[in-house]
Amino acid sequence: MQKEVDFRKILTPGNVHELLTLFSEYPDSLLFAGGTWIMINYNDTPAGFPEYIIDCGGIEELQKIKRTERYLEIGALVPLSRILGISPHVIPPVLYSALSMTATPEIRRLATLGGNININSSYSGILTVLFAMDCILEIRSLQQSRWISISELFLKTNKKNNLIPKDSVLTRIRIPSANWDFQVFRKIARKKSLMHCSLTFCGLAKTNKGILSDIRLCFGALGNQLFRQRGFEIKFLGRKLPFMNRTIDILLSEFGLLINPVTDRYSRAEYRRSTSIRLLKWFLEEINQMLL
Amino acid sequence: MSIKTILSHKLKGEAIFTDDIAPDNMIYGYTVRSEIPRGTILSIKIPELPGGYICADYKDIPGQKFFSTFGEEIPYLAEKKVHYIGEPILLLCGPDKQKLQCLGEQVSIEYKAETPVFSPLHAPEENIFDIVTYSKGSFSGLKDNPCVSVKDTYTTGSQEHLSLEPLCAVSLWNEKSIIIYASTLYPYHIKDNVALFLGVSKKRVKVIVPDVCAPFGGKLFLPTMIAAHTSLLSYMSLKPVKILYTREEDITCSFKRHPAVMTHEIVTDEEGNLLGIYADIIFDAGAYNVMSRRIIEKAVFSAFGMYYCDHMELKARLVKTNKIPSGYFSGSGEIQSLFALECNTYKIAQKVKTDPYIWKKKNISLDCEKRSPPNPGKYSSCIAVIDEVVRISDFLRKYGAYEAIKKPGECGTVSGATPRGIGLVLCPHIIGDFYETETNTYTLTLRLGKNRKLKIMTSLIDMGTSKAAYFAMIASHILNIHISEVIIEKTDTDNVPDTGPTIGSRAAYNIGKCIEQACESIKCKEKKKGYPIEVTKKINLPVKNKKNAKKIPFTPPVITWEGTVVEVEVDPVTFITTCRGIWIVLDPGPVVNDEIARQHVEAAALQNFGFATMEVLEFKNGKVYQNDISEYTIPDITTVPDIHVRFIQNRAGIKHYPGRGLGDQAVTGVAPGYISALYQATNNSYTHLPCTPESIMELMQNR
Amino acid sequence: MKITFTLNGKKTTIETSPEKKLIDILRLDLGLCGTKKGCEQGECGSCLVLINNNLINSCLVPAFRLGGKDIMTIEGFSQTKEYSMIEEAFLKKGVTLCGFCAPGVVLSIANLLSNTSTPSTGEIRDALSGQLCRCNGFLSLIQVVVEVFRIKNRKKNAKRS
Repeated sequence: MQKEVDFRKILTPGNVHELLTLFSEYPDSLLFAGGTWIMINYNDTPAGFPEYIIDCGGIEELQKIKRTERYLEIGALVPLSRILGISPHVIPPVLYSALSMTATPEIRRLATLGGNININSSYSGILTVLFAMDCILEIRSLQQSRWISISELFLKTNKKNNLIPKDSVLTRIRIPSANWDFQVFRKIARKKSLMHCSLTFCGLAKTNKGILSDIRLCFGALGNQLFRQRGFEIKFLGRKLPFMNRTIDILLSEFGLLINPVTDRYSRAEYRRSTSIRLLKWFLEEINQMLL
Repeated sequence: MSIKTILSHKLKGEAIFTDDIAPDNMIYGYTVRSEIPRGTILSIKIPELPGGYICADYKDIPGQKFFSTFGEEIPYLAEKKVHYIGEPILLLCGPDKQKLQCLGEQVSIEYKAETPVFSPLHAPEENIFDIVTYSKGSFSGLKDNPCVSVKDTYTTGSQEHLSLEPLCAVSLWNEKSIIIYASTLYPYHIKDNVALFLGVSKKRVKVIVPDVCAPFGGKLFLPTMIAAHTSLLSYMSLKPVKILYTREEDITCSFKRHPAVMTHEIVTDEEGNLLGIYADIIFDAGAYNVMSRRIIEKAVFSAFGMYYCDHMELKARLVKTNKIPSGYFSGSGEIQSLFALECNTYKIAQKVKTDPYIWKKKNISLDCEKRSPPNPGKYSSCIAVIDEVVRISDFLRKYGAYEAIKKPGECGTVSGATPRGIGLVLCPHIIGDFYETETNTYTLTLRLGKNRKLKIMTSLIDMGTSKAAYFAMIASHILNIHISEVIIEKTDTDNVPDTGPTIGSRAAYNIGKCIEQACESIKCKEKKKGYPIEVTKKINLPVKNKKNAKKIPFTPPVITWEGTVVEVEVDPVTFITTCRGIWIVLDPGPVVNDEIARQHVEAAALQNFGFATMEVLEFKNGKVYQNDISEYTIPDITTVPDIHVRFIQNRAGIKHYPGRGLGDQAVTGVAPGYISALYQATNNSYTHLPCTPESIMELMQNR
Repeated sequence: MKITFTLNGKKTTIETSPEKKLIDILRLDLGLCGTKKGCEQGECGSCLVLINNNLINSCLVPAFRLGGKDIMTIEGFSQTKEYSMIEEAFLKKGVTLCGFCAPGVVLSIANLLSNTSTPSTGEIRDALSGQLCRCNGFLSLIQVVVEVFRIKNRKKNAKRS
């Protein structure tokens, strides 16, 4: 009955080197990590699986979590549920919120952090946070291994479902330790577990002697790509706190010009636009409030 | 099986659903559907079919090509004309599901498209399936004198039942007769229609209903179409055939709740005394008229609710559009028009600066309560229900507090606190309504054996164990036997009589009454006769109050009262709402089982809450837009608010069980309550269900 | 491909195509129909099974991931002592379900039971958040879970004394 699919081969590398060798040998193969996204999306056409599937489940070196003073390092194959299991003091609260609002507990047991990044969905709350935190990714191919910042990758890719270059594999994720004075993650969805949402927002801010020394503002689900612009963030830096109402208004109207939200079956462009502006305003006012 | 065993079976995963049935040599069926909303089929190109694969269209149907509903007849397979996207045109069957899908996708159909009608407001005259008008006094003359009025146009969207078990049927034709397994709420509808469809006598069609998941009456008529499809394929291939709808097919091609557009107006004098009500209701029936009269009758009754006054005017229409047919959905008709009515009463109370509780009490017409037989009139359930719900929810204090702190004209509070609102709804439920007619001969049979074990034989479907438990409790109460001695016979048309459609309030009241009567006759016979005693009873038309029926259109035989309070908080940044609590008080008469009744109410309240907040189902060019379980969102355990349920068990006028029953849709007050609460919290009048943060924002900005 | 795993305590070997979903293997090849197919997208929770004691949607696991795994379906779990506690709680609370999502609900409770001692309402809600149900308003399920833990602790205390 299943004759035409019987030729399919499963390759099971035991370490990263084997993975890279196999991947260069079979560049059209499918990398199977947690597999949740693949299993859902190949749902209608199981015959659509490629000939070779590389099952990464056995690569233990990519399932490690390491912590140093400068960063938290997570292997690409670490399931989301395991990250949530780390002590809450270690994992940034915004990442914790984003993870706990991703899918159901059962799916979080399968889905991996690397997989979530690789899908490159603009709806991903996790990506919104990682992008805001300027995390860096280790990308490896047989030829080279390099650490590249997530923002650089975003700049390079325009394609929707492919953040990692085709010949390479995402192996580790480093989240820099930084003491943010304010950090906020919000996800607006009909239910928190839904991937498709109206908006995600991660806001981070740092102050020094009454001056705003750093700020990160990242929005997800606004359009086809995540929104974060360093050029816009820089306009906040060095400003004396609390922000004056006039400053807030000017920055908000500038922000309004930068975003280009879309309408889809989950939400409407007008809602995304005005809510992201209100969320930003709220975030800035929160900073003011906390200083009082 | 006893009730305890049934529950244990379900928990252990031993419950057998239709998809769990797989006879030897079974093959699968596939439905090729219309891709356009309206037009004529010019040609159909079918790919070359490998051995073992068969194709069927309307020409292959040996007998009748249409099946009956409570409305018009619907074709099993489109002949020439198609009326909605998803209308079945062609069937394929074969052993491999994937291959079948590939073949199905290769079928190419050429159409001559016609201009579709998507909005009932823009439909031509000939698209009106049914129309009802009513008038009393002179509503239009009211405004000649000083008065206060509130008029708004309300709209409600489509709603999907989203039964977790997708639609499924399996048919086995054995040259002479056919056995059909189907996930349905109305087995005899399949039996009768498939017999005509195949052109065989009814005796040769046997319908077995395994366990079924069919919340809110979602599987009333459509399963007949699927069962006929599998039967035709089995008849042609001489093999058992199964059709299992995919989740997407289930959402895009099953009958939905009727969307509605309602213009509703209330006029009072300056003191808030009700003078008149006007309602204009338009239902979107979709491509076929599935049960028009019943929808309209319920809507007409609910458009006035308990407020009967001297000047009333009403027009209700059911209009054909080129979308999925609207079918039966718990609370059909009443849920829509009660939404318009109760939102308007809240607004008028605010306008005349009375609180809604006082306004309602002042304007309730007790005359309306009296006309429904088990409501005796001396004691008013309706007043008791509203008093109790106001008490347990602390409505008056909260309402006053939220009024005091709100900033006039915007979404915010003077204290800077998060805006909150609280809504109050009082509504009647139609019980034991219009499904019994003089021509129907629905029956059920009870048999008391020598060992005093009672067997109940009915074609009513028992989802969960609630109905079984409910019937068993009535019987055990009257016959004085233990519940475990009551056995509900499995649903197989060879062994159980036709009891008609399985619909919540009908099962509770009409069938419950019938079981009560049958038990009474067994009790009488037991004294005179030996065992076994078998009694077959016709499901009787509930007594109609003819005197009042003249005064008021479509007076239901029995009414249950519901009082609901909903408290809501709105985030002024994102307009996400949090429901702080729902309080529901009902008077269903004596409650047979408190626990089961409470669960029934909670599930209905949650569905109503979903309808009010998140169950968005839109159409784009006639096609269901949210076609996936992750896109059509229903409430889950993380979104369910605290629901507090109380029963007032007024026994007056009631001999045994059942008293009045819980109603077809046990709760309809959550949606208007929620919208009323939002009205108070944000100073804005929302008129569409579901009301999402997006719609709240739009109104806030367009102000 | 040939795959060997432990199913409900029994070593099982099957011949299957590698990408076949566990749910189809269970239902079609092994005739274990207690695991239900509601959406095939990991949204509804009707197909939950325990794999190496972790609660997983069987519609999201392909055959090639099953080698050497210990799989427990509702058919196996219903033979355990933990199951009888859960059934006792359902009966005591008089909770009714249509039976389609029930196996998933039971296994979700089982999973919570093996990971927590006395869960808060929030934890209960989170544990059952992968479960959709239209026949029940969820609130009674929360009460069932509370009752299960009451039974468990009672039994534990009885053992101690």
